[in-house]
Amino acid sequence: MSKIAKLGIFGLRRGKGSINNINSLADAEVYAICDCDEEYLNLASEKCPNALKFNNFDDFIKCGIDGVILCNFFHDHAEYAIRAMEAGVHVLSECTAAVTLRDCVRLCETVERTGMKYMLGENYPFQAPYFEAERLISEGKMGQIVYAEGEYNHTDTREGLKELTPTKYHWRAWMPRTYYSTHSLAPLMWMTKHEIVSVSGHAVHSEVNETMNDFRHNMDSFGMLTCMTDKGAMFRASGCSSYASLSGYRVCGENGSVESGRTIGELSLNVRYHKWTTPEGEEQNQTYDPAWPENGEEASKAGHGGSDFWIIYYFVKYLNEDVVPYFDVYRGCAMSAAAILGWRSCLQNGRTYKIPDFRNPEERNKYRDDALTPFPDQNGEGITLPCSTKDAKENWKDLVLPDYE
Amino acid sequence: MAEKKILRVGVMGTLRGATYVHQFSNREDSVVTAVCDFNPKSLENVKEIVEEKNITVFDNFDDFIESGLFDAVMLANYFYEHVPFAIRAMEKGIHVLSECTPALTMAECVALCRAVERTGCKYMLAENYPFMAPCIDMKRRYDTGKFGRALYCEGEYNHPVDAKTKNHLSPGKLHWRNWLPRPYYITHALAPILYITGNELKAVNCKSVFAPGNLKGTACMVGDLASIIFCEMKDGSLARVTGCSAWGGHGTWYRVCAEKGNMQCVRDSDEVRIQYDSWNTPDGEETCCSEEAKWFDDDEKNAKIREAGHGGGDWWVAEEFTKYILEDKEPFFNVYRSVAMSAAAILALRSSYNNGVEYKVPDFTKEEDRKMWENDTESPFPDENGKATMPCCSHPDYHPAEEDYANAEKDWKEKGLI
Repeated sequence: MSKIAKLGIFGLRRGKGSINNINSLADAEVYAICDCDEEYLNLASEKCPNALKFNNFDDFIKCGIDGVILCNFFHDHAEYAIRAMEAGVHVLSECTAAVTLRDCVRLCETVERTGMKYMLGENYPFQAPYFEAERLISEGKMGQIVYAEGEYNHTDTREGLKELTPTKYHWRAWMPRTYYSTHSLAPLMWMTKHEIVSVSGHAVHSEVNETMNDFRHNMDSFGMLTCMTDKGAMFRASGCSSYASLSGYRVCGENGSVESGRTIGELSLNVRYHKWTTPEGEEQNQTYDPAWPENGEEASKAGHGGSDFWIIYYFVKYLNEDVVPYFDVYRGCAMSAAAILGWRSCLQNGRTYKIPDFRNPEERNKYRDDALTPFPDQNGEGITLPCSTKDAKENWKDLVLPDYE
Repeated sequence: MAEKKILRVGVMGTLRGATYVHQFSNREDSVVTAVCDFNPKSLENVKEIVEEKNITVFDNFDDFIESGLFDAVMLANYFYEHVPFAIRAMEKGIHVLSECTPALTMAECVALCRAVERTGCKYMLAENYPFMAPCIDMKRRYDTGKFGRALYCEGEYNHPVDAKTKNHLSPGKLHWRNWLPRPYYITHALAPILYITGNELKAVNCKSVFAPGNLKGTACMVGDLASIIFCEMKDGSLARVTGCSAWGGHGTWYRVCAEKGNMQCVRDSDEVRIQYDSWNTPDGEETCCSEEAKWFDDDEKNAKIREAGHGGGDWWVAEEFTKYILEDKEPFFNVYRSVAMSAAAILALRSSYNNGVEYKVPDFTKEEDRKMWENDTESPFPDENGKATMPCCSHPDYHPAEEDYANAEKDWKEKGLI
């Protein structure tokens, strides 16, 4: 009989969505769940009645799970991932991997030291149009990739945002726009298989967002990131933007381009070539709804356009069959570093930062002590960076950032 | 009864200028009295209309500009020659409609502004893309205020060509198109955004992507396939524009993302897609829809406009310029906005050589800003000996191989271009 991965879920507001996806797999089970909120714990328990229930991480992580799915607060992922791996538990971490450069280094070194498996639970790449785009790009039909863009737009009403930001020091109240970068950046990396090597950023203040400064202080509309890749292409990624628009992704090569979202539709893919590079038997310009490459039935039931199924699927494959996922700790941390350094670029007229190669132990030393963060602790202490361009102009005039030239 | 004013126009350059010979000849308030081109082949483009309308033909600019036959000149000469010709025309008291780009160097930007002020002549840039139906539609919608302030905009002019076409368009090793840095052809991408939002440029950052694969068999010195320029506007908003890029899939696209909603061209159509946040949707409007863009309610008139080149944009350029000269209606693309776009292109190229560092775009209405740039004559275009003062490509050592030049020469000869 094949191995069954015993999984634990930590943080059940977001994490309860994983239960059905785990239950749909023959080689995984929800072994334990954990949340300090009893209501979330009980609601989740209805979907997995045999799972052990915990209200504290220390007991939960020792209960015998093979892997943990970390769906806790955005700015706490690295800390809990490290604790889990130190306890001999593999990690599937929600986004983002880390919110400081120091934690990027710690995370990579913990993976290496403990030998545990780490995967970033970034789901957006794994939607039907992007599977198809990835296939076309990997077959070389687009030629050399020169430019790609990814946008994750998430606007909401004042009431909606307030519900998502329930406490004064909640991470959503203090998150610079670039920090939520993985949904816009990861699909581009995955489709092209390019690594990001440098980043610059531009943020724009929004008067509309400023009206919500009484509970959310990240008043910018967006923090646009420009990343150059190891193969010389350029990626534009929106972080989490707040202008009204469909999210969308596009990859442009010297011979053709693929695009989804925006005016194309979120389930559709537009493929276009030059007249002289159109592959034989194909149309120069066509739009269609691609099918899932496999597991369509399970994926189509899952959240976020089916992508939530795939991250569980890949994590279980990693645990049971040692199939290394694309978003390993190094790529996860590279995206976090792009977000962190991209934000610093926004504060410095778009200057370019090199993205650290976290695979290189020597290079890590430069960033080992960089714990600058825009996020407060639970007492509102510890903020060492502004979270909006207006905040920076008004309150951080003397801010000196590490140069890293 | 007052005599109806008729604008007399001379057209310099009859390859690109042929369309304007027709546009100004077809109007009731303008007439083309002279054309000029040193290349007899180009003059063939206007042979019929020249004979029909009895237009005087010149083969050199000196005689043409001294002829006294016209009040305004349409400059459709080489991309890198606009400013010297524009200044010479204005010194003669002749108003100028200049093809893109307005200026090639920072010093030319300054000289052009000063010439306009010194001579009192009128200058307008013949930038046609803002007048395509979707752009005018977006401007009208933006001006209603329903979308709120623009926060992020995109302008894209993607014009790939195959090697043979590239060679036919760029005859000669020193032809300007073979040395044209990607950011320099900026106006088609940027001007519609400025026009729709009314914003003004403040600063630029730029990076280029080197991908010369499709240039095999050409004499092109620019191995970059795209330069992406981020323009910060004076109101703090951001625009991403392409200059002239050449990735797969030809097209021009524009997009305005504002506080309450966004609008963008639907690719491969004349439609504009409009989307508001559901809670910001104005009364009586749909949260999300696509609508065909039209200039006027009069379909017959629209059809006539569309017959002009570049999606009707060429008709609008003639319209705006004629109204400027005859009725003193100031066009959007006056000399200051025009040279600001050139400066954005020039400084974007420098940014791309300097790891994307930001450059401030001068305010050319201010003499103190002009003073800073009046002697900056750096140019990526070659002199007659093939020497330029700055590189035209992000890989300065890139140049075509001998077999590329040989193929280009074959194409030029085949077409009778050299």
